Amino acid sequence: MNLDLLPDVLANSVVLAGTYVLIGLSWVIVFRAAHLMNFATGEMLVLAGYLASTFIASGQSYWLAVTITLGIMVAIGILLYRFLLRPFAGQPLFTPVIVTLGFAIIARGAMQIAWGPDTRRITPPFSDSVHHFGSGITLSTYDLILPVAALVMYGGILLFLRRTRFGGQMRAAHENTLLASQSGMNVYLIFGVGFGLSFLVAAVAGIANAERTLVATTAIPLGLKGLVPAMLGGLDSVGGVLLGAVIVAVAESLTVLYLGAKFSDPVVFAILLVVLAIRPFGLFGSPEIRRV
Amino acid sequence: MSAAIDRPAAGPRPRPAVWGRSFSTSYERDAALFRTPGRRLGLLVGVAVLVAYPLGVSEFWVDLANLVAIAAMGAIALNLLLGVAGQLSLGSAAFMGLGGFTAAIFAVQEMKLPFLLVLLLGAVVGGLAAIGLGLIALRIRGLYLVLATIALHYIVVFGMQEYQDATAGPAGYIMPEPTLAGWTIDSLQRWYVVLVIAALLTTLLAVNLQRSRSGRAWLAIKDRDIAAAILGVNVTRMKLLAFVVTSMIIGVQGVLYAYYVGVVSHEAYTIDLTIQYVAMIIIGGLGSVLGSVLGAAFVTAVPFIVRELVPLLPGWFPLHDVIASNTFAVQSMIFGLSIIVFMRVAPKGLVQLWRRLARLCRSWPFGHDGPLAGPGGAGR
Repeated sequence: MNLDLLPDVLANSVVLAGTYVLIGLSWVIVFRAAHLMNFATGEMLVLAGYLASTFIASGQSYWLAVTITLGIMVAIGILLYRFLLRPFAGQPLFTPVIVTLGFAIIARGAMQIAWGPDTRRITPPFSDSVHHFGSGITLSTYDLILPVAALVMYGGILLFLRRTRFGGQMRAAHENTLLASQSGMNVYLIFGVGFGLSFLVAAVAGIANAERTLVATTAIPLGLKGLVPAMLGGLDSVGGVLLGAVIVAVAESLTVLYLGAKFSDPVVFAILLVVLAIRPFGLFGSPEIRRV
Repeated sequence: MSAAIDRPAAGPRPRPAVWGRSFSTSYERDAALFRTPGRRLGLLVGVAVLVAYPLGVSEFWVDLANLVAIAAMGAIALNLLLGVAGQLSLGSAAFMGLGGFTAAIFAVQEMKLPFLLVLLLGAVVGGLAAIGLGLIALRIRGLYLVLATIALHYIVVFGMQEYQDATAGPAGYIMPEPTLAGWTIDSLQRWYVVLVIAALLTTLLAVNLQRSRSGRAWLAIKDRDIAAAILGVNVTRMKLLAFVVTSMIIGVQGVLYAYYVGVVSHEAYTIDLTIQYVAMIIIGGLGSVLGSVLGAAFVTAVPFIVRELVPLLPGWFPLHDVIASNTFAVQSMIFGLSIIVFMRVAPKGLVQLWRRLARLCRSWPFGHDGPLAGPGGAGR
């Protein structure tokens, strides 16, 4: 038990929490908008990384490349909803799960064909230097920027969902789709925008993660790991995902510190099992769960 | 009207139709295993084909049939859960892995137990894991079983990896040749006998479960869980039963697969394997035992078809070189595309296409919908 490392690990888990907030948010937005879950989230994270690195490699500036990538990802999200999920409206719950899984392995195959097995890097657009703080905390410039950027994005989306007319409509469509459509809202448009927004957030998370590590298909399980903070906070709670991300990130960092890096995946999925066993609707989710 | 159905009218008894639609005049006949003489004839032909098959083909085809038989077991099991009870599990690979590692631990690493006992242990391990997980995830409605089985997948794969690293290393465990009552299963033909019998037993189990009280309860839960509960079905218990039966069969299947392939390694049990099993029952037909077998045959054959067909592609074919050098990626894209296309065009899979075709032939020339009519076609 090495307590000296603890402050540094906790500081670094804030960086991890930044990534988890974004991925969890992408699950929450889709669920809040359309009552759906996108099991291709991990593939989309990696796809965003590949697209951005390709545009940068073709000579675009960093910001232009990222903007193009985000645009493409939003379009993919809307098209996925419009052409693969909307036709299955009204079918059993598991239908969209299977459709997104099918989409996920198509996307994985396409990425394998398009980019092959080699990994790529995305260099952040600022000089990355290491800063030392008191009590052994070491963070890079990137580590400082990522949580702040994630928080800003999170706050923006929270405002959008809570304060704008469209956000209110999205909540109405989630609560009672039939009533919302009877009140004149275009619920399909709302669901489509929800998917676009979710893919936007996922793409930012994917690019951010690629900058920290590499662009590689090994990052695909990160999409499913990002579901855990969302479930912990409550799958329909935008507020809860923040706390969920912090808890999961701290738990994962502590496990890695005391048990080893190989435990980082299983501990997160063990948290998911605990959440399902004790509080399946999460800390702040609405308990709409019914026994039959 | 019901009195007329219960008591056959005087005069010649209505003869069940041989090929066409059958009209059951008693509940016994309605629930019979083979409802029409045509089906009994079909059974005879089927058995004859199964017996004759390994005598007339090369080793490659026997091997393929063996793989299909193993896959069919897993697909039939998953179809009981998804197609009959309406619950989706993404734990196929995890439960196969539990079976495989049960075999590795109890037949190689720790003990040298006999084949039959290891098969039994595979069922026990699968069943116990399913009870634990089902108690967590099946109490409530919704997609919780999907999430719980995904979590189980990553935890089980991690556990297998750790155990394998600690004991056998990256090469994995070499399985012995199994012996059944002094009879060593050492050739593809002998394996064919064992695996086809195992698949037939699974088929019989699934068919019998479907026409039993449990099967009807599962169908009721799938169609409307609240109505099922009102009718006196203990929904949580029946869902748990479906999950446990499914997982026990998949556990046994994992043991058989481990013995058949001869090597157990954690790398074999990926989430892609799970998706392949989901693809089998979507392509074959949800809720149909025949569909599970057809889907298993299709998904098992795709890699061989891709391997044989890709070199035959003409040079002008778009992306020719890319496809030739990425056959694995092409395979998984075929699975993904078939899942989506079948869900859209024929939600009941190949079986539905077959039935539409049969109806078209039967009512020719007065057919009113073709084999590719939309999902809302007749029969709904």
